[in-house]
Amino acid sequence: MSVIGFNIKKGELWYCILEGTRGAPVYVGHDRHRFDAAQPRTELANYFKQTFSEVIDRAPGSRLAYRLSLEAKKADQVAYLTFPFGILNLVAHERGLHIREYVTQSFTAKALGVKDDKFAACDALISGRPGKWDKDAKLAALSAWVSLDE
Amino acid sequence: MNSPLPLLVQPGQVILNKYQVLKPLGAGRYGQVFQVRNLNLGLISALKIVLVTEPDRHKAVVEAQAQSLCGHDHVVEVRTADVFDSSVLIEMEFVEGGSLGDRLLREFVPVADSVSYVKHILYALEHAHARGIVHRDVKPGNIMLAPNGAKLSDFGTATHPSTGISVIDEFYMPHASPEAANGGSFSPASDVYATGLTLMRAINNMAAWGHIITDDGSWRNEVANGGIPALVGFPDYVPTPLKKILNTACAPGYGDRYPRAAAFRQALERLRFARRWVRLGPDEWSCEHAGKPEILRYLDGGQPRTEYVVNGRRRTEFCRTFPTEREARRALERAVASTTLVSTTRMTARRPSRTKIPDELPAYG
Repeated sequence: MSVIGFNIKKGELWYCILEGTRGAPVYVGHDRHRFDAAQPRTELANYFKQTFSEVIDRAPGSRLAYRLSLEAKKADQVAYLTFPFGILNLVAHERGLHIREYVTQSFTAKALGVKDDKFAACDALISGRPGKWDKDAKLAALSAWVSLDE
Repeated sequence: MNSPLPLLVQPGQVILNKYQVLKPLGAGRYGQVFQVRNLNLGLISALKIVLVTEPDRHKAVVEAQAQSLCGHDHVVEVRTADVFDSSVLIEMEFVEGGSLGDRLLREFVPVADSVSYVKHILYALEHAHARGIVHRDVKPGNIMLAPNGAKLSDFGTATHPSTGISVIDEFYMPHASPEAANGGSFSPASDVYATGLTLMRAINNMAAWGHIITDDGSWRNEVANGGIPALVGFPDYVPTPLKKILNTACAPGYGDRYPRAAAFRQALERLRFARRWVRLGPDEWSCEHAGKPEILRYLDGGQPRTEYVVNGRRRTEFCRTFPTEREARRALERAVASTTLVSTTRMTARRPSRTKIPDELPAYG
């Protein structure tokens, strides 16, 4: 069973697809979608609904997971960091997909079964990972990783 | 839209004890569209009457497509299909706002609106392509403007390249990509080309083809060579990053184009619009920015000049005099282009980063 992990920062939506088990995660793919964080709320909501659906269509049957950022302090930040995951939950509900929510603090050594720093662990333990991927992609991967079956 | 045929049904007529015809909405090569009331459901619908040689087969394919595409926010819903008097009746969602083609005939459509509509259509196309369906008829007349955004309509000429199934062996020739026009090779990239050309026409406010499509048929050579986008061209008010994206979408070479609708859309997502300029006439543009009205205008008071007014106050920026009217008008449009997008954004037409994601889409020839 594959898992799609999502992570959002201002203007960028990241996702990463992993397969395998929590002890032996296998990288399938990742990508970044850019968006205009300043666009009207309704258009932003439609962007996330359509883009989440498009990503899910490309990995049918996957479970979903996401990292919820707790950094939003202003309404505008809530709109692009928090609202989208409400939409992702609705998409999951409509499609009957299993979905899990995490925060950065969820990615503990114990949860992942690693001793290293979580970002170093992505490089060390996810097989088939790309040569270069940044922290935002790894946060999406970590969401997927902790959702894999043990 | 004018039809060479008389109306196939008349207002007031009831068809199949189910549809009460209200009024004609339009006509094309394959049939006519009417606004009807579905008497069983109490719904207002659009009813397309298609004249085909094999109505039962046509109905089956339409129903299969409707099932496959159902529920997408940016696809016009197909409700049912029936066979009636050697024709197929396709009942569709009625979209009050008419088509993008209708709006282009009515008024100037701001570039920001056109880009927004096309992004919606690219979602619909990606959805269709993922299900093996290539539309083959993307044009302003098939983009319906609903209150919640644009919807792609009329899959009547769609094909399934992997199986070769299509109900009509025709397509919209003026928007055909060179590989489609020359060899009948349709793929998601040919829909990308047609969508790029649709957006080019929209930003040119080109509802009809004018001098490009002529009776002598010479335009067919341009279609075959991929020369139509160059003939459509870009007005000076189009921002350069958008031109670059459209040049990639409408590249004559299959491999030089965005391979998928999603890639084209992601390139458009990188454009951040600052101003929604509306052309009020040949001499004047207006918009609202940061809560203040702005006007850019051409003035000919002895010497041609341009003027920029924000909230009723003249700004020195873009206020210049020119030796000729042509230069002044060009500068006016270039001022529109330079202020349409957020200037700090680094926007390029490059494709999104390649990933290792296995392509779930069927292989196309």
